Amino acid sequence: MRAEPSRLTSPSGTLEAAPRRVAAHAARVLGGGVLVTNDAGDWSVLSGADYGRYLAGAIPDEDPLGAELVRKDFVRERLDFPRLGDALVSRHLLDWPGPSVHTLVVTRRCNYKCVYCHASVVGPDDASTDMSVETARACVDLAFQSRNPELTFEFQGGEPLLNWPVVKFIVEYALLKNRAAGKTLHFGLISNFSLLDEAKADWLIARGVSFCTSLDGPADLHEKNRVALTGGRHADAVNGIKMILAKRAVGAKVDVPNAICTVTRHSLGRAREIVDQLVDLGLERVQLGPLDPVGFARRSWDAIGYTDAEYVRFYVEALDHLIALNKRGVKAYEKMAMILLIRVQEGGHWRFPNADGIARLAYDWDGSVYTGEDGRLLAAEGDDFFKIGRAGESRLSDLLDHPTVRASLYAAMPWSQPMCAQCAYGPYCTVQPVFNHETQGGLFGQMPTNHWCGKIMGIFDALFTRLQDPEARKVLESWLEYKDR
Amino acid sequence: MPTKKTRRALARRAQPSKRAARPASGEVVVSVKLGAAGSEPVLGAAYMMMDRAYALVEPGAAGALRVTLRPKGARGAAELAALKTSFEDELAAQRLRWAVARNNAPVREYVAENAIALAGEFAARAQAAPEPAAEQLTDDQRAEIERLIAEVETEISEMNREKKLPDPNGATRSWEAAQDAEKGRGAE
Repeated sequence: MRAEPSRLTSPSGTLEAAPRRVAAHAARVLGGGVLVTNDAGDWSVLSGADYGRYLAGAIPDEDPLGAELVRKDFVRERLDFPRLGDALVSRHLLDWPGPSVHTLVVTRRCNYKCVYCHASVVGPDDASTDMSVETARACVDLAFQSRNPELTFEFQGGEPLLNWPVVKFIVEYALLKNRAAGKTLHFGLISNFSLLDEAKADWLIARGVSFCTSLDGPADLHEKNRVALTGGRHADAVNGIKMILAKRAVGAKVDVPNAICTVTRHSLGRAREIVDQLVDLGLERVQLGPLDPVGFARRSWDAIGYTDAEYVRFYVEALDHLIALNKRGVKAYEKMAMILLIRVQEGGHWRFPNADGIARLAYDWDGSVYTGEDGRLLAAEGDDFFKIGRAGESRLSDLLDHPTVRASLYAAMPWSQPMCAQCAYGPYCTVQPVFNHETQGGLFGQMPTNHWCGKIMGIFDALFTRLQDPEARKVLESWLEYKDR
Repeated sequence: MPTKKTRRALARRAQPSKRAARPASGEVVVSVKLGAAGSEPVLGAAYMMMDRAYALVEPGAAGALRVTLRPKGARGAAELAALKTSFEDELAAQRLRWAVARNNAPVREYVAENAIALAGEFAARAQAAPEPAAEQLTDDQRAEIERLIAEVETEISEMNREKKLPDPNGATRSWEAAQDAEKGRGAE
């Protein structure tokens, strides 16, 4: 019976650090070497022997490795303080101009009954959860209180096209309001596309709305997960994607649509097929969303859930397939990999996926405001812990100052977590307070047993391992170009 | 002011545990002398064991902590031995991590203080920027908004009156109706 290392993994043996030479860093055993990272987000992979020499202060500055360690601020007596300060500012303290992403649930009605749906939907004929025009206006007004020069309005549901008049109103009203505000506006429709026809698509495209749908892979897999009231509708998603791509091909100004693949137990072992399905359709972005036992999905977890290791295996298979496709000239990337790579390779903390309340807000059909979409989903299941106000009543400044926002933000920062503060991926990672609250009973959670942590660590391991391979690294770094799309 | 009962409880907590020095069946007990490293590495190592064991850290003999680990899985002799080795490995790693952290704490604090001051300067500059004129709409624009609202409300009320939703693919039909339609198509 072997002794298993902890999730942090550490070089073995009783090691001591030379006080004058060894700067603050976190170490992780990775493959045959040791990954070291620091607060500024710099990183290096050393052999086990070199890490021992580093700790002993036995690598001279003139040595090529020594020079690298000095340049990256791993040598305590050679630290570049202004550079470290700048790096901390850009990584953690800047770019907080207020919520940018505003997710609007224009209705909870849906014509699908997906097996893992988080959204706690109601039937398509029950209009009692349709957002009213008055509420829509209050939500847009609240969003415009943000000082952020860029605002994104995401339409979600239920199926947002079931409340089409209000979708149209929000777009028109925001555009009108923006004539005075002068911000850059983005709109995104997240839909199953079953109700998307030519007229709606043209109307939305004319106003700069981008499109996103859910596509879990080949038809049999998609329809196993996403059951429409009229039967599974893989064709809805595919036809919608093709319609938008066809319009784009003849000159319509619209982004390539996105499709999110939610990974369930049924997806395991089919990573390549799923990637191929998305890429063959002409999509550039592959997004392999892990299923979380949160909200409604918690109820069906026994049937569709999986372990962290199973998800990571699936993810790595898909990642390697995408890298291989790229080497053959196919242009496609995986979204989570791209986000993490931006943080690793470029610094900054591009897109806080969970800086809830600060970077994003979610609005339910009745104007209730939540720290983010995940918090709203919990409320739909009866837990309104993350509700922070109401459009039409609350001021944005009060929302940002709400105790739940403050606590969530604090919990999301790796340095306030006992394990994350020592984790080599701490400079690039963020904790998920809503996930922790739902699965572990507190915003801070317990990282050694946390399933989000288990999955994200596996993804980081895969990325850092592939960054050691020059060809794979070239492909991965090419994905950074998609940042601004 | 703590009550007599609270004071007694606090005093008890500071005393070495009177639990049996020998572990109960299916548990591992490790006694760790604190020394200069302090208690953090022990607490850190115990915390890191949580994915595989329940950990109890108590005052032990003078200057020591007593860590009891109860595996969450199998509790055979081999599993317990492996668990003990894992804890000891993690303790060594935690000692190194904490030594590096302590040695560098003043440096990190200095860098963080400078970074916060620098960020404060950026924030002050951002504050000075003029507020966006979000509400400064012209009368014409306001009239357009009113027209827009009236238009959408009319559309919604018509939609509700007719109970007819935009549904080009027949997605809102009941499952039974869809099946009937399928059968009908099949029979053609």
